[in-house]
Amino acid sequence: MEPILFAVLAAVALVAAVATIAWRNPLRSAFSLIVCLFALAGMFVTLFAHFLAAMQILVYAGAIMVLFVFVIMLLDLSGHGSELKLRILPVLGSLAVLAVAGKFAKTVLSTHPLVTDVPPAVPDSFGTVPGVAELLLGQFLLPFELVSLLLLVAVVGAVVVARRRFWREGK
Amino acid sequence: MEPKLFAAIPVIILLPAIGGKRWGDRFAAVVTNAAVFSSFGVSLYAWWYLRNDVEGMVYLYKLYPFLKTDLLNIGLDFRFDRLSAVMCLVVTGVSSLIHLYSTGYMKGDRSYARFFSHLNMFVFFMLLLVLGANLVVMFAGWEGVGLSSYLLIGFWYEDMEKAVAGKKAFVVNRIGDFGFLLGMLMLLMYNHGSVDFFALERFANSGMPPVANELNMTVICLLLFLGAVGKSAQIPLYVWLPDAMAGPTPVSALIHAATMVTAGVYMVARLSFLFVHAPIAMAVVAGVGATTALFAATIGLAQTDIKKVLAYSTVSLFGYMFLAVGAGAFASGMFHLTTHAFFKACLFLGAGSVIHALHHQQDIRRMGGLARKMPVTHITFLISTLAIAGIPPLSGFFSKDEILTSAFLASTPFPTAFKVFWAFGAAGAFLTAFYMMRLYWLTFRGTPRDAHAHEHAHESPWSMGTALVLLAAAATVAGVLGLPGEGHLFSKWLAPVVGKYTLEPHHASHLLHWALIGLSVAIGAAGLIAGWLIYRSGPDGVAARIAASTGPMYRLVAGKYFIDELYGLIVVRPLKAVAAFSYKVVDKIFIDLLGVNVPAWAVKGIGVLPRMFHDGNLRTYMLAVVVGVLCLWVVL
Amino acid sequence: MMSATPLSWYLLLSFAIFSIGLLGLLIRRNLVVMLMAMELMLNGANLALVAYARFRGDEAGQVMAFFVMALAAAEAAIGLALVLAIYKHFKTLDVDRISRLNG
Repeated sequence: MEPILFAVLAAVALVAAVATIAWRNPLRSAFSLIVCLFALAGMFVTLFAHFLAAMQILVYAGAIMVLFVFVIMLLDLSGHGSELKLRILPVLGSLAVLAVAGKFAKTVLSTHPLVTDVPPAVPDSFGTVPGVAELLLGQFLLPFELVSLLLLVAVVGAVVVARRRFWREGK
Repeated sequence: MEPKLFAAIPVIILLPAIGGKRWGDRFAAVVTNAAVFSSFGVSLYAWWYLRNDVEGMVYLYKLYPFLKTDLLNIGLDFRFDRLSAVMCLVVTGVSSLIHLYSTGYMKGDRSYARFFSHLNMFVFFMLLLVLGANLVVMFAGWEGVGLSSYLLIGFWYEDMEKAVAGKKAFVVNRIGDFGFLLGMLMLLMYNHGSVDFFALERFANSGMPPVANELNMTVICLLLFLGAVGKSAQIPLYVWLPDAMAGPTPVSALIHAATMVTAGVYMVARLSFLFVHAPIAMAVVAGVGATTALFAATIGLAQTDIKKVLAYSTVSLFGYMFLAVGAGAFASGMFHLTTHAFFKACLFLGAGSVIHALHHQQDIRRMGGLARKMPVTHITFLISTLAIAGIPPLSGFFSKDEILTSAFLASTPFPTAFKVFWAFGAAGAFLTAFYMMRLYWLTFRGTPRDAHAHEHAHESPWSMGTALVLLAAAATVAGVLGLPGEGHLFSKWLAPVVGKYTLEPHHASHLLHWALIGLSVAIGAAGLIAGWLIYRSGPDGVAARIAASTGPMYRLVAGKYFIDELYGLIVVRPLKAVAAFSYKVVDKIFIDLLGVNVPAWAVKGIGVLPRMFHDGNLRTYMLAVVVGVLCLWVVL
Repeated sequence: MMSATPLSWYLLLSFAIFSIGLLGLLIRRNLVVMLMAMELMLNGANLALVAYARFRGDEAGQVMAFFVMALAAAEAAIGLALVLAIYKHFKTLDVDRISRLNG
């Protein structure tokens, strides 16, 4: 049952990922990305990361992608077509990416068994809110606080940068 | 000692340095004039103070040690003694009058303020030169006046000819300065890194080996004299001075007659303690002076440019001064320098007044009959002409006669040579009187040869007139400073400085003395009368007939013996060839090509590849990052 | 209980998504799409982290993934703010035309 679930989710995620970078219309890309994120959230569930799966949907698919969609609609970029002209740069880029992917695959296949790999048994609380919270507010308290600080800085920075006057003066 | 005086010496130097354009022409004129006049005032005060002090007192002011090492000990020191006092008074006095004169002469010039600031810069450096307590400070002033001279000769630099004249003066002076520098370096070497005048005097009188070796002293003195030859325009480096007349006339009067060119004579007098130890060098000094005196006077005979005549006259009269110092009569040389400063400045300013009135006409053949139009200029010019010709009781008579007497009676190992020098000097004196009379007559008397210009001629404004009158007055009465015999105030004044080194002339009977005096008066008068006889009828009468009958000789003189052309052939042409070689081969191939362009091309070639990645496109950069990661991955 | 899919599959999928994101970053010229491609890359990395957490029985991997999400949020906020500003300035989001830094 589980491998079937994995296969389905993986297929959805891959197709959605390819669609994300392939659509000419950025709005379609954004929706494809949301699909991909949902598929990954499902995969998190099969990996006993319930809390993270919820976060993935709430924060990522919910908040971040809404931001993306807002910006795309605001700037009215839909239909700005005629991208992806086959020039030397994309070809070189594809080759480089292919090399990276090949290298990845080779490494994985040479170090991990492809068929028999049984994950260890884990307690029931694994990946639930209490389980993750134990670590997050215990061992990783300092990074946690730092990340919250980072988010604050990012928000302030975003407000400053996006303000009209900033760029007028910067010119 | 009065501390105030110590403070005053740098003030003398710094005051004229104030100038500038910021607040307009009028302001510039007022400031620069005030600066020079007040420095004249300070000089007078300092002189008065020195006069009332112990005889032979020397005021030293050590500003700060300039170079102080084990090998060198040179300070930015100033020295005010009786010799510097004379020079200070002459320099600031004459420049005050010339500044005043310039306010009128330069009126309306586009670069009025620039003129005055350059003029003040000149006075600053000249005072540095005369007040320096060692050769290095003196040399700094020496170079500084050369720079000012260059700037002022080429003052109207849009005119190529004038710019070239400035360049010529600068380059010719470099040759002399080279000698000065070498002489100074030799002294530094022998005198343990000090060229302070006190130290040098002690060193020269010590009789230690380098001094005792006459050859060394002769070489040093001749090198230093080469510097003097350049600055004071003597043979063979006199060629720049006539060309320097391209500058504004007040500049010619101040720099190229009254002050800067005196630097050479001042230097020999200042270093009298060195020169007395080198009789051969002294004879050379006198010889060069006497030859120049005669040679330049002959050229002066045939010049038609009013300023050129005066320029050759200046060269000639500086020859007399060198004849005097070469004969060991340092005070006489300085005395002639002083009187010459007055009457020659007056002559130049008079010439400037004429040029001003005739709207920049400088050719004496186009003048004539100006006496009635310009009475002040005429009278002052006449007085100065008589002074320069040596007619008693004007100042030129006393100083020139003294020089000829001391040359005739010089106590030297080469008495015959000095007799010849005397003869040169006497002949030069005749010619001087002759060409000055010619100049005077063609300019002011006779019939006007350019009716139009004569019609519009007018007397110059009060500022110029005042300067002329004061200078003429000084030229008239300065002689009382040098009455022959016991009454010679000038040599008494200088006795503490140069008295010890003055070579006592051979004793001569009163009769001989009076005979020599009478002779020089007769020579001067004869020159004047001959000039009057020939030029009374204007340039086309008797004069033209004489010129025609002497043919080639006249052309030789009128062409200034073609010395410029000769130098062009033997010095300038080879130098140009060398310069062309170094430009075309050394510069173009070795420096430009191999030294600069080839490495640049190499770097540019290497840069082609990396430049491709810096096209400003974000994606290119990212691709580079990915490739870089890949490479690292492969390597690790 | 039922995890029978080996770790290597998860990793391969994770790398595939990462590579697709990287490819998108390299070949697209639209800044917004490039930002989305970066989100893809981050998610690929997240998947690997979560898979490792499961197969090692260590929740620390999930905490890391959580941090990555927070980071992604910050990055999106700043990135989109910049996109807005750039669009106002250049009137385009085509990075090929925003190449003032030209050597």
